[in-house]
Amino acid sequence: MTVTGRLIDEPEAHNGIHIGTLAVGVVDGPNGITHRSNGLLRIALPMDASKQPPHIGDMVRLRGQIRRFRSPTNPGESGASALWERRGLFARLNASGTTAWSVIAIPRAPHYRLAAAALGLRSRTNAIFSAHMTSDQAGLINGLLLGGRSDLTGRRANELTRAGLAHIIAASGANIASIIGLVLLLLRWLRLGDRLTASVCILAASGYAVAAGSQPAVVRAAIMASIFVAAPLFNRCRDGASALCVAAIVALAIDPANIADPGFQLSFTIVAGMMAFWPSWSALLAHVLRKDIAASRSRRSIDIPIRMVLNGVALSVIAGMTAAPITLQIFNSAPVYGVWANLLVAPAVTAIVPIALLVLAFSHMAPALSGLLCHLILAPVAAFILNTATIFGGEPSSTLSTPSPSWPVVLISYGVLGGLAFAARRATWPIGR
Amino acid sequence: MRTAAKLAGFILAMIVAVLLGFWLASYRPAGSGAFRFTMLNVGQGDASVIESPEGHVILIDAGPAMRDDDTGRRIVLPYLRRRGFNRLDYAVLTHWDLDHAGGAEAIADGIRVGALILPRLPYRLSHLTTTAQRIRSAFERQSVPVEYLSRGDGIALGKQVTLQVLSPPPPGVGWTPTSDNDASLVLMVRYGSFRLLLTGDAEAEAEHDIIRRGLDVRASVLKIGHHGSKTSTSDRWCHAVQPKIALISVGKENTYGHPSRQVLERLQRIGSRVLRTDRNGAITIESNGTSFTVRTMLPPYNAKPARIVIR
Ligand SMILES: [Zn+2]
Repeated sequence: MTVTGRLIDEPEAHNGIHIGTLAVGVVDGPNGITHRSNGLLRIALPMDASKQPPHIGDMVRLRGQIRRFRSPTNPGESGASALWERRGLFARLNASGTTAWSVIAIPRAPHYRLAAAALGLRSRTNAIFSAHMTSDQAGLINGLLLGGRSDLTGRRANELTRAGLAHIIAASGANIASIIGLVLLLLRWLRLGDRLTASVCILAASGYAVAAGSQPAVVRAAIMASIFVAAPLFNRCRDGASALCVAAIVALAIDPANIADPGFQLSFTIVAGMMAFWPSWSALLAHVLRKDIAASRSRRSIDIPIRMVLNGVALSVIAGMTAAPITLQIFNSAPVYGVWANLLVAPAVTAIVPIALLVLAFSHMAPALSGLLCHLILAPVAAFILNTATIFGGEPSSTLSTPSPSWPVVLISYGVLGGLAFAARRATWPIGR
Repeated sequence: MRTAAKLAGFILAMIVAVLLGFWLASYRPAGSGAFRFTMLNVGQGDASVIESPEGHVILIDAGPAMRDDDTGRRIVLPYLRRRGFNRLDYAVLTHWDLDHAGGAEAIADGIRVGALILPRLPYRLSHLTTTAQRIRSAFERQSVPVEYLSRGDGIALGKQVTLQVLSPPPPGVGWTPTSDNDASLVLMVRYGSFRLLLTGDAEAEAEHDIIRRGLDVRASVLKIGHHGSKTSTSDRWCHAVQPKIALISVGKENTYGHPSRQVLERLQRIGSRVLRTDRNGAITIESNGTSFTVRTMLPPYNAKPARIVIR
């Protein structure tokens, strides 16, 4: 059959084939009659050196055979069919040869241009980092900054996963927080009004969400951050739980299929976990640090780094804990050394995003300075993270196989976690008040 | 300072909770109490897993690895993870053909292996291709010891399950295999009165040699040699083995025309029920030593397993 439609995602190039998702517009019937149509198809286009590769938003015409997705035929095999069916995709159309497809128009709609620009930005930032470090290091920094493993080799990404560090290359709330923090710092220094400051913060958060490819976790974080920043302007107090709920409602309104998406589930449970555990944690931390500072004035200078390190550690422990029931159910494996790898890496990760942003900011104005920052800080820190991943994730024994917990077990685990959070809250309530 | 202790306690409690959770999630009683054989659907190739009642695990071949699809990584490792195994007692490669050994690199890299088991080859066949060398060095990198087995050798998997090597013969003794396929490890697996015969890609010559030696090859379940090629599973072999169930690991619409019509007819004549991975998906045989059940991922035995009593 022959169909014409628009690519709604950036095709992946994989072993001589471009694979992407097509929103079908027209189907050619017999006797030259065409039918308007709509629906989604995965498409596979054999690569052709003489053609420009297809991109998101392109109008593509192809002829080939349509096939259902293969359902899993082995226990434990992740079924492509289930994954795609959740996203409303039920079949794949394979172009029958290099001559059987063509790009007939390039994008005009603004959101496709935005997505294409985000991809362009990504390759530009990667080029900036690559100029001063190895491609693996640059790929890691780019992943830390914009999320995703597309700039890393398979082996490196694998090691990060097995060391329990995969979450550091998933763009999410931490990055949005860093960016808003930087923006706030800058605007306070410029002494702009509250309204303007809030608007700039919201713009920065949404801009980052677009640059990071509008992944669900980032969109969620951007919505929450915007609500947080805007709340005082409307004389509302900042309430994490309601911000999270609004973000969930918006994300589900955009695409209800999100609810079945593991990325969506993880993103929300982790944030809920943070909200449950963070108050007790920060109350304790504030109390202890204040006491120590009172004991010796000289310790104030190291107060901030200590706070950063401890917060990074707590962040990864809480995230690991709240994500575990879902990740175990999906992947049947747990990183054995995850806790230790995270303890080592967490402080480095916290520091890297602001510095990477500085490097990008200076790359045109003061290339020498940005190069210096790369050589002095980014490259060594990236090397440290990559080597930590190799140490804790390079061995076959670094993952523990775990049979899938059933849904009741998952629910019970979250019940236990809730109880734990409640107990921690009660134990720390009087402190820090 | 009391609060500092409290803080440390809080962090420790969290870490302990995480570790405890992982440990609880990965906890499983040693062995499921039954013998279990699973032939995975890896397309045109072979990969099977034997689990002893005491929880020992052995992998027989690791599936093919083509340029865009490594079934060792895509199918075999996820299966082992799903079953909760963190270690293979043995990984057996019946021979070096890539439809059997290709996925082994991912296995070496992805799970701890007690020992790698290979056929002891006659000198003429002992030269390894570069891919085979790469696979073997993947095991060497993980310091996995290699054992070469031939007829007369055996593997004990715990107290109750044994694997007896029927072929290839030790080099220099009697018949000498002339092809990689004919030098495949042929293994008789025994658990109680349940017997399972695994043949790799052994062809008619190897089958005849085994029968000529007077070895007992009767088995309830036979893995058909060489994906059902007409060069294997001779009439004599079928009559000697008398399997109730014949398993064929074969790719959908493969270009070799496997399984051949002749082989299917031979099996039909001796009344064997044929199950094949291209139609039935992964096939699992579970035995208590006196009877066995057959389950398949796709119909016919996906909803309700078939129970078969041995003799
Ligand atoms: Zn074969």
